[in-house]
Amino acid sequence: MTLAGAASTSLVRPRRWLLAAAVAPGLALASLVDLRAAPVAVTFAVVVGLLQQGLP
Amino acid sequence: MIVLTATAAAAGAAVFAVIAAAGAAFPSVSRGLFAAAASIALIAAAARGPRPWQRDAETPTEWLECEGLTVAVRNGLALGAGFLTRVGFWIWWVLPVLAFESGSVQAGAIVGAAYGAARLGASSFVAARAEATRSDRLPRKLLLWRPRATAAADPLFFIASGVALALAARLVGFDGWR
Repeated sequence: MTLAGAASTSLVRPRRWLLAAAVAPGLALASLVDLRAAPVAVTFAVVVGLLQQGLP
Repeated sequence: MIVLTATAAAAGAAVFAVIAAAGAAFPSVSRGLFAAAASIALIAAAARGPRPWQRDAETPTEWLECEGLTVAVRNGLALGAGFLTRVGFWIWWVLPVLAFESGSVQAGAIVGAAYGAARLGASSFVAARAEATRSDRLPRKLLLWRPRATAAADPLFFIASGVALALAARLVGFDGWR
């Protein structure tokens, strides 16, 4: 691995682990919103489908 | 395009109904433990890199030699099922976890149909509009929108995984964060 590659990996990985902290609001959200409720689950599924537009 | 969207919705409904039926086959504690393990594995894998677990497949070129309707049906089935082609983002994996947790075939089918219809319905709309206006402005805009979709998908994935994890804990009987 080049020096630049190693540097970018060490920069990117911690940032993703920080991003994983977003699990916490999800845990809190679960007590406010029931994701198994049909409208919420359907909205989530639609968002996932829309995000995938233009996948190569 | 209607056939494409309809088959995608049917494929999504079938896949997620099967996953939900698999969830229903377990008592809620085991279902919760499986779902919790899957959620933790997903969170750990997604924290390591942006590239999700996926089958690196595109529409086979030989399909394009088939009749239009056959291509639409095959593409609809492959894309609507989700996992048979590229999923693009980790967030897709939360859908089967939630379907499994629900343990309801009906809920799984509804969520799967919504996913398949949204994925292919939106693509069909963009393609139809491009053809009607004889302009590729909208498809080009969509391509420019992709980095934003990527930036939004990952935080959404972790939030949704948190929700899935909490639901799994509730299935196991832990309700500590209420």
